[in-house]
Amino acid sequence: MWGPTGSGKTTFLGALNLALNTQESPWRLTGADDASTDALIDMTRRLTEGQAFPEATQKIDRYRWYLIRELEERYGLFGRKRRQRQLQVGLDLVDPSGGHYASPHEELVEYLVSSRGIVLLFDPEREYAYGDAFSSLHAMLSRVDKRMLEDGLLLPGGKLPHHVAVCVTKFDEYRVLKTAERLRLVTTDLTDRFGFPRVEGEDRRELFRELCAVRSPANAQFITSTLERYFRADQISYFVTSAVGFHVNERTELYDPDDFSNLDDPASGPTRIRGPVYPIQVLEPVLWLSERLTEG
Amino acid sequence: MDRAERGWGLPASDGLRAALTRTLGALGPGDRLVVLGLDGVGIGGVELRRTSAGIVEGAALPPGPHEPSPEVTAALDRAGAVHLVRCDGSPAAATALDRLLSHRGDAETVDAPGADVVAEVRAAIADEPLRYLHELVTVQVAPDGRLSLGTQPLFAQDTVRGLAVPISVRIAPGNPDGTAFALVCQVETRLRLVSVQRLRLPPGDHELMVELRGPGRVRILGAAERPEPDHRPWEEICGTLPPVLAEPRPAHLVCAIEDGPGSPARISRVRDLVAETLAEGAGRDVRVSLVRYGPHTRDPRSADPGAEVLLWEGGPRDALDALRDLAGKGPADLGYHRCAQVECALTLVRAHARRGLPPTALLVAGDRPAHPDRTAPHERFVCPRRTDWQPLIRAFEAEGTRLGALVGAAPRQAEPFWRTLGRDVLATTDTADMRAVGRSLGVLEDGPRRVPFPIVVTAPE
Repeated sequence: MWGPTGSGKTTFLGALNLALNTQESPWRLTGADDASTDALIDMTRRLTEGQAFPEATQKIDRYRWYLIRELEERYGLFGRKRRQRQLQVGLDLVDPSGGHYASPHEELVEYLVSSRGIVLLFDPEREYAYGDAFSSLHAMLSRVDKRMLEDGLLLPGGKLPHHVAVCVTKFDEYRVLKTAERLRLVTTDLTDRFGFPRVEGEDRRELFRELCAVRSPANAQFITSTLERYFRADQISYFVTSAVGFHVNERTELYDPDDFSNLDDPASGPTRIRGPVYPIQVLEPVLWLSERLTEG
Repeated sequence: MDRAERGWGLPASDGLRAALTRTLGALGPGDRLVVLGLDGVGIGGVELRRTSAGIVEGAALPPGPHEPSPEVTAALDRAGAVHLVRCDGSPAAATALDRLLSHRGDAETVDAPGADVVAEVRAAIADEPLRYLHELVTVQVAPDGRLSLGTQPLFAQDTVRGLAVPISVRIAPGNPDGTAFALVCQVETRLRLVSVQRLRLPPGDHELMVELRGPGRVRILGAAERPEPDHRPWEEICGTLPPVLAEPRPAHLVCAIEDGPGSPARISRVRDLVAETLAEGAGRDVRVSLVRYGPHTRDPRSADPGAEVLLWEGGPRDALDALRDLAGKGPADLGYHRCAQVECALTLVRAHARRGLPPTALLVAGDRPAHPDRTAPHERFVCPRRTDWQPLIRAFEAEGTRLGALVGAAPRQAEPFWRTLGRDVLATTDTADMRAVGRSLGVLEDGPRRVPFPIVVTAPE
């Protein structure tokens, strides 16, 4: 996992477990060791009970979890026999502190070299404020590319071997949502009982490009071309996510387009979460990575 | 004058009075008369001059020893007539008399043992019959309401002091400086200003008596307060006369006050404004409504405290009482720190205004802007009732309600919300000139447009 300070890495991890529960996924998440299990418990509790954001990461944390699901498998000569099988995907999530985003840290470079899937968090609010997404991305990928070239790990076309889940974060923020609405990229999943807005399919890439340009129009081209220069296009997927999701009206129990923020700004202290957390597209990038990495 | 003509058979003062009366009678406009008294102590007296209005004005000459001072000598040189009054038989007085006669050989000498020369001069002036008709400056009201200056005769020519005449006057509201009672007389074709007194009378009709106390001097009777000389320049007094006499419209001042930290100062300033309407608004129907509001609550488990009407269309005194009660309760807790339910307070005002006098002015004294009606870039906490403050403001504007805002700190004034709400006046709570705020809101007189003179005068019988 790769993203700058305040991009929501820690919250994203905490929301992942909630997403598995609220979206009735066949997958469940469990820690591979005590530290990861404790971290999962703590981050989930913060989001549900304390309603405060998980503390920002101060160092590089490595979480080792498993995504587990039961699978019915057919076998035999004619495939008429069936048996239950447990599918287990190792999920090593590296959560570096935001500071390493700006200046590539050797340890983080090593993590990225040794991993095959990257969750790349893009925070439009930060990009609007600092406009440093391109320079950070370019600096890190240059280092990783150099290392993997030296180790002979590049793909035949010279691309990096990773699958990259590019996640636009903070979809619940006013300017992100309104940008998507202005571009007519917002849809509603009719099966979603709350009617939350979503951005689907190729529209996610379009929104990502648009949001890359919030500080400088040139950045949109730089960032997307940099991604596609280092990674195979078919190994990049885009997601529009929100860890805390949208507020649900207490009376109607539906998404309220006039009152959608699930955050509060107390007179003092950090921003708090207003109500129940309904993560948006937090699970999808991890599942996509898991499926792509276990293919074949 | 020959000594045989001095009237020995008369009391000393009568001889002096007769001489003064005769000489004053002969004193024409611009002429000067010097009256000096001489006794064993020294020389003292007055220099008199008749104005173009026919009034005799006097100035005391500095008393001194028997040798005439330079001021006395200069007065003697410019006087048309001189009276030398020997008040005792002291040799010093006789010597001084001779010295003065050598300076002004045409001086008339009068023997008046023990006379108070200055008092005799005053009495002689006061006893003079009026040379010209004395009139009171008034304001005439045309049928179309336009105002103009006019005069009302009070005392005819040759009237002597002691006569009193009744007058009925109407005092217009909104004149805290008092009403000017100006006496003029007409000399040939020109009006000459004689005297101006200022009398603070409440607005309305008054029955007064005007007593003549001498040429150019009147005493106004029947008022609770004593008149005082009005030393303002005549142009300044007349300059406040408005072109028309606008009947004061009832004013309805609505004040919405944010309850919370800082509310004592807000309440105090609103009190100042209400007190100003009370001081100035006698004779004008000023009604005051008060609304208290605070922030919405974000907690869905708690009942949202709504805005509250503390007083509706009460008198200024009722409002002062209500504000005192509100201050006594102490400020409410801060609650949500970024917004307050201004929009709901405005809704409440509009709902009440439908049933009574529409607000002439709406003053919001607060610090936090309204909650938006929907999630906004700058604010996540929307009004639970989804009330949008903008159409409410527009509705007030369309109805002619003047809008003002008192905000806690100057930076707040830059916010679009406060600039919109403070369309007619936007001021900082601690430093606002509440009279100016009241004028901008139309609940206090806008500038010195005051009727400076009595409006209606009933001529004396």
